[in-house]
Amino acid sequence: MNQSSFFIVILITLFSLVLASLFVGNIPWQSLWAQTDVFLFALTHLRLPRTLLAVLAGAGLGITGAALQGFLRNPLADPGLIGVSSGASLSAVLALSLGFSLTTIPFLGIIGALLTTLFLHQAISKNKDTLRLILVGLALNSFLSALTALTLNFSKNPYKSLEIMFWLLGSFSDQPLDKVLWAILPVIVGFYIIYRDRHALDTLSFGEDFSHNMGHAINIVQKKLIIGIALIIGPIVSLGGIVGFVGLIAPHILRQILKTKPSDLLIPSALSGAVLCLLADIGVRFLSIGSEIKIGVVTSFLGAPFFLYLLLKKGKTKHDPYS
Amino acid sequence: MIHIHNLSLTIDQKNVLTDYTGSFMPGHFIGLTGPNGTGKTTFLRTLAGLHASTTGTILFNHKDIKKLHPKSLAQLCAYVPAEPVCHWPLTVTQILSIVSNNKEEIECLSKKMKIETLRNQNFQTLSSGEKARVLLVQALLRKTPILILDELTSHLDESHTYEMMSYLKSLAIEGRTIFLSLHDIEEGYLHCDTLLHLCEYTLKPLKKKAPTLKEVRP
Repeated sequence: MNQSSFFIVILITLFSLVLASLFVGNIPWQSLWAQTDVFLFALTHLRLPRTLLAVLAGAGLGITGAALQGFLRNPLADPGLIGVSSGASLSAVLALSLGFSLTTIPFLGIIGALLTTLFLHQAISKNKDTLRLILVGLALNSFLSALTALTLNFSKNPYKSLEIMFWLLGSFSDQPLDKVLWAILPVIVGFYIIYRDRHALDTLSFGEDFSHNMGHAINIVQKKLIIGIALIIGPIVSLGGIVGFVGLIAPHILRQILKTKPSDLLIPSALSGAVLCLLADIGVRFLSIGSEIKIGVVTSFLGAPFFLYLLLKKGKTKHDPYS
Repeated sequence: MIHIHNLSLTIDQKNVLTDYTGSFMPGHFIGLTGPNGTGKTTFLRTLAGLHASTTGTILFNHKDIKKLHPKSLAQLCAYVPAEPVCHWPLTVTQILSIVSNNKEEIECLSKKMKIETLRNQNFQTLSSGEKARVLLVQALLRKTPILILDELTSHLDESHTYEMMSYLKSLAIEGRTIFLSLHDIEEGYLHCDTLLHLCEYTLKPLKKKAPTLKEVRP
């Protein structure tokens, strides 16, 4: 599929899903005439922030996944897998249990994500093997999750712990509109930082020497990427919790469909990430029996087998591992 | 114009080259030979500004390459590694589009290097010889005055090597400075202006011997 027809298809899909997300739910759209105020309240206070957050989170996870995979030249990279999301959630959980005000949470999320990525940056500064980074990231991910669990363990208020645990499972509902609107700003800055260096990702296809020789100082590109990822993942995690595997799957599917360079995968991955998150979020509204299934559960439920499939397939084809 | 002054190289604390001084004029085609493992690649990477463990200076047009901005250095020299690996399944067209958007030029150079039929093929599946030609086109599209080619001809058969070497020679005549590491010393004598031999931490010019069979052949 060529780029332009892909963009037409994905934009139409995204637009229809946004509309569906706004009009599908417990309060059906037919009530627009019967109970106008109730419906409008649900629209602006519940569904609009929810839809916005789903788009924002999906797009952010998609672009950071595509950028990380391009940078590390490894299709198994994803901000969730290498611990960035866990870093953001740990600092948010710490802040919540220490009683920080809710407005500071997104910023603390950015700091948590930043600290995690800086640690990863330091860990691979001597040995730039990209597989090593992924393994270090996996270990870091487990450790940060353990710290989060420990924080919850020591929490004095059981109701609060439960609330935090549910939030950690990932959900786009119940966030006020103004908070979601605030989160857009750092995410857009992060997008800009990552998108500006897209050309370096292409040159990295031939390794760091080639990229250097083409005029990209890799250390600087890496630092910018770290900041960009933290600016995107921090606010998304602090609002939506951990929604795994979207950043892994979106670029991978697009690589098969578009067959293109890493730079041309960034925006399509963002759009597809948004589509995946919206689909999952609309899906959980139908699946709900009693309490709503958390979106992070759905994406991990579908994403983990997909990851396994990738690993098994990679082992089979030795010479052409990414196609 | 390239000046190298008192250049010493080490890699993993092993000596490669000590105190080399030399200059190369534009239009010079320099062949670099030497046994395996003596550090030809390290020397070429140093010239391209990619190897850090060095003392001494390398000047491109009187500017120290260590002090040049990466972007400015990128406009001066193009480096082609010995065993290129492309990490993604990209086509030849996509690989060329990384360095240039000028379709006419890509077309023209692709024809010249006979890679126009490979356009939609996955780079990873090409033969070593085809890869070498694609990467040379990629380097040429950057229009740099200096080309640093690590074993570009090593995987080519005899006739393709001859063709490639004469083409590189013609590029040098147009005014480029070309460094090429190679193992076929006769091929080097035939086409290069200077043949440098790297051995025991020194770079020495190899003197021309009596004409070889290849040179006599029409």
